[in-house]
Amino acid sequence: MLSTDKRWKRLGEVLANYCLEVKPGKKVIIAQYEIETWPLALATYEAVIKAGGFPQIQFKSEYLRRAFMKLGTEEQYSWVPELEMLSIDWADCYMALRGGYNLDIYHDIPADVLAKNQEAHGVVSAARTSKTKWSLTRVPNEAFAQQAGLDLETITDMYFDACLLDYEKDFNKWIDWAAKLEGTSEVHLTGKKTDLRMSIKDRRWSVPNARGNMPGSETFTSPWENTLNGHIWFENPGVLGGRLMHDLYLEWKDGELVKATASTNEDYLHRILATDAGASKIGEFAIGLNPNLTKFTNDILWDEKMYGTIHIAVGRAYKHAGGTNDSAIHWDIIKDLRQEGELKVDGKTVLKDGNLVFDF
Amino acid sequence: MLSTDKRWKQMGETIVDYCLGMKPGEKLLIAQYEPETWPLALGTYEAAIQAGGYPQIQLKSEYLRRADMKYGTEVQYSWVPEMEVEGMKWADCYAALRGGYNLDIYHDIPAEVLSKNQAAHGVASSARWKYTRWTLSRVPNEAFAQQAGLDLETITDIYFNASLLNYDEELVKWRKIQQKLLGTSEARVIGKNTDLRLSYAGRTWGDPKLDINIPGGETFTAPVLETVNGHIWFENPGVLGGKLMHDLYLEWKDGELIKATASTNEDYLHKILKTDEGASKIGEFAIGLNTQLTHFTNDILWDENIAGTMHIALGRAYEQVGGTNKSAIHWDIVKDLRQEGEFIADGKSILKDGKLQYD
Repeated sequence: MLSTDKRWKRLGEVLANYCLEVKPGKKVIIAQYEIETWPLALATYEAVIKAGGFPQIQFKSEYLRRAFMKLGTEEQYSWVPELEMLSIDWADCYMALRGGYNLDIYHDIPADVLAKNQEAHGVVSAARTSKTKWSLTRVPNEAFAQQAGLDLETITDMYFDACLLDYEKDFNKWIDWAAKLEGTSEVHLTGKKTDLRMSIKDRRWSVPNARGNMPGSETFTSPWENTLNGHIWFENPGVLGGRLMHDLYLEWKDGELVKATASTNEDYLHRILATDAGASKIGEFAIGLNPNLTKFTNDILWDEKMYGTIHIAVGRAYKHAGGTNDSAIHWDIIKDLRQEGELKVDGKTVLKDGNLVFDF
Repeated sequence: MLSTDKRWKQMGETIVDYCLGMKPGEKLLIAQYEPETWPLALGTYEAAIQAGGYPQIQLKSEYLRRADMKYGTEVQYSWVPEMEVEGMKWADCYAALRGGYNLDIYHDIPAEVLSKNQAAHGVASSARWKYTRWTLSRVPNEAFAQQAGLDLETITDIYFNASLLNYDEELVKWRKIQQKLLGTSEARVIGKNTDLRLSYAGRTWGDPKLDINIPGGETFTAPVLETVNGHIWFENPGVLGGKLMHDLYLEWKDGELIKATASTNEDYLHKILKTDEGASKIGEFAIGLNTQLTHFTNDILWDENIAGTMHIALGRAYEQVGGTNKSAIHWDIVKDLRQEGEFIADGKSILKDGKLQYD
């Protein structure tokens, strides 16, 4: 089970030193999701030791959640995992190493059971984000390769290429790009079956980094939700709750959603968009920056960082970007502009035919 | 990585229901050692939920300990793992599922570093005894198959056969041997290069119930130290701290060790025996009862339960059977009586030519 691929060690060092900035004496919880993630768990553990820290590994798996829901009582599957909560109180830093998993393993779990279990795990997530310095990575394994329609070697190579960057050089360029977007006000997106405008006047663009998510990165803003006008179609399926929505099309008029269609799971789509008043409005507009992410994986953590794509999120806006839209959901959907399409801000081209141009 | 071998689920149920006796509402900490132990970790987790409990899993590995010692400072490798201790305080029950591992991974770690790290982990072990009802299983994987000189399928089948027993029937058999020994006071073991006598008058024999070790099956006593006379030779190497001592031979006169030789690691043997005063004396005298354990694995947790063998432990005696010997060590060494030899108690044959004499 030991991997001698040295790239795991290099990635472990990036996670410990760049993402979490572990200092001597710091306590680090490594949450290893799925067994195949072991090479990265070991490498991260080693890097934390080298940084003078005190690591401990907690094991998690979607199969363990399935066990609670399949075999447990309501009291059991609604239980907030206590030892995880104690670990979060104990730890200074939290590194989540999430292996891929077969998204269909909950096929026979009723939706209300899933929702109650999700709520209990949400308590853990909230504690993690409020009490620790945390980072999250989706780690490739066979299940993830299958989800992405690739083989394990290709997706693993892509992962390392996208994560083991020259963090000085690449990020300075990305940070310069994001700075150019500051102070702009009108977004105009065109492409296949797509013509969408929105105002981002006085909103902020985030400074790209890969600390919270590995691989990174993106820059995002939050539009004025009532200025949405036009329509957008997505080359790749929208993914939420393990469900794929193909041929997804959305249309707004003066901020109001007027059309939402998909060739698969359209009922589910309508249900999501009706969650609350903010669920049918755009809370985030963002640009992917990582040139080493070249294939769609149907996983938002990776796909939203792809160079040549933009994404919107319907639902909750980012307050630090100046956003105001409020919702219980935040659902990212990615548009691929690599074959066709253009993104302009204030009439100047940002992205065209899959390349970030920034000729201003 | 999911295993569909249903025996892992049965094994999980045996651990939860039989070894730990978990009750609704109880909390279980599963310590999964080595990634390959995952099928049993999941099986145990599922069984704990079915028993109405609340399980959580901590991942441990000898490779993590190696990282502590290879890359850490003294403060780091002497550190008592805090979340493990917290986990034991949190838990009602504790299941240690210990996958095998390459015993040579500490080849470049200095002995004093190892012993400081060992001491820190000893604190965690004490917390396990103090705060939890616990059980311990050595779980087969490729590393363990290799250590045992077998293939993975064979050793996995042995594991299940030796652990998934009809305990109602099996315990009756095991207790027959215990009952037979309870009425006696002197043992003699004869065999190849072996003739050892000792008394355990006033001591008792432990109930061979299976709880803290699975696979299990032994009954043990603690000899009266000064009555140990004679010599014993071991067919299989003695194993301690990852070191093998072949051709091991020990001889006592009135309880004093007068000869100790081995064809490999003899210096190490002498060092162990000098740990303290009690280290050269027999603290435990025991017999294996599990007829499904048929192969030596060089792992004491399994080998001491093989039917057709007896074992002694040098060092610390068990107080619950009346033992008094004190030592920092408790080193079990197993003698194979299946080819040749006999275990006699007060003139009654207990084990002869590898067969337990139940009547």
